[in-house]
Amino acid sequence: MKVFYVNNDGGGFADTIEISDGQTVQQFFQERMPNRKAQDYLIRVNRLPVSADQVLREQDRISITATKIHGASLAA
Amino acid sequence: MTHQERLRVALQLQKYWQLGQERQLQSVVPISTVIATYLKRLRHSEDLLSLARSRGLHLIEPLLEEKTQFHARSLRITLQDQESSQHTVRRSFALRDFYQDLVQLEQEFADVRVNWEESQLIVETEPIILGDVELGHFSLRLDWKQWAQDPILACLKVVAEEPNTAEMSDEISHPHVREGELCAGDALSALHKAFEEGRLAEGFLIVHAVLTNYNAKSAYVRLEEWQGIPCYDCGDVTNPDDRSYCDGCDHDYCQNCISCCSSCSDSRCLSCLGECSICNERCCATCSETSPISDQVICRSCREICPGCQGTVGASDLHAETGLCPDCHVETPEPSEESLDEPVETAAS
Repeated sequence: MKVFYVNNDGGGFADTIEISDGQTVQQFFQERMPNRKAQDYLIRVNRLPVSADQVLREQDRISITATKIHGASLAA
Repeated sequence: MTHQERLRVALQLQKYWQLGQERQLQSVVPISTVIATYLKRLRHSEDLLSLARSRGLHLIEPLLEEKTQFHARSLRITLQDQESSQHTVRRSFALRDFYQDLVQLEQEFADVRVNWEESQLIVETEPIILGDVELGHFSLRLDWKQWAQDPILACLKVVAEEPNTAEMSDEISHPHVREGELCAGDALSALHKAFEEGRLAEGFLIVHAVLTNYNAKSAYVRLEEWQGIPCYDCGDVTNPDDRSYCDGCDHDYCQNCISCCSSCSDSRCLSCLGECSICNERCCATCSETSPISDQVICRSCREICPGCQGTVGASDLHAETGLCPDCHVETPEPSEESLDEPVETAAS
């Protein structure tokens, strides 16, 4: 099935992707963001907070935004 | 925000975002032009290289090879960029998307409001505390007319509502905010992308993530120095104008605990200044030397080199007549009367 995936990590990425049916939010995160901790990210499905075991559905909009991002100074 | 107001704002956001998109598309140089330019440069380099080889100009070959590789690399990167940009096809952002972003912002943030006069969407954060420093809450202000001109970060201001600015500068309200401008650091690319693509809710969430994190390595002012830098000696906190840096020990000192070298005039703390044994002036380690003869600390002005042993001595230690140091100057005994009576041996006797 197709979902719209917004990854705000690194360079940023937003596109429609194909995922397997019945995939949960947790499985999706582990697949897309290997070796990352879910608690370091805001995960929203259709702009709403979700539980890890929520099953994704066709046309869902999933966004992943890091909560621990380092800013800088221009001089740095 | 009421449904009506949200709708009104969403209409404005959509209108100006679309204007920005059109402006951007107009300013883009056609990719074929870019590729043709790089290709032309590459061919020219290759031609020069084969010419050099055919004429046996071996010395210039490495330079031309490097140039050829550079142009080939530029061409490859351009093609790769073009390929990756095709994945992020510009999609239209419907009015509904802007409306839903506003709803999400209201759920994620403490307050969302509009300043119609200044065409600003204002999103307010909760009070932000980094380490032990309370920075207060911030309002993130998106000027949607500016957004159309420049979809990058110039349209966004980060304003401290109850500013607790750094002691060092009133312009710094957060370690990563100066004069209302966020320095996004690692978030820069994702933030550009979010605002460029019209994903406002995510853009504001990324800004919030930057504000709630602290990067000591590249902060405008480090948190431990937020209230000012204490004097390393007496501990008094002073403002930057009354503070001096000691190059000798790399610490900051207040005006009472800093002095300067009498020889080179560089600022030094009292611990990094020695006292010249001859003139009693304070001088830094660079300008002073310990005499191996007398073990005295001698400043540059009072220092002399003994012509006999090349050692450093105080100017007053040199003998007035011979100009030698005490070790080199051997007193010749005064000739006695008896010795004068003794016959002088000559080669003939």
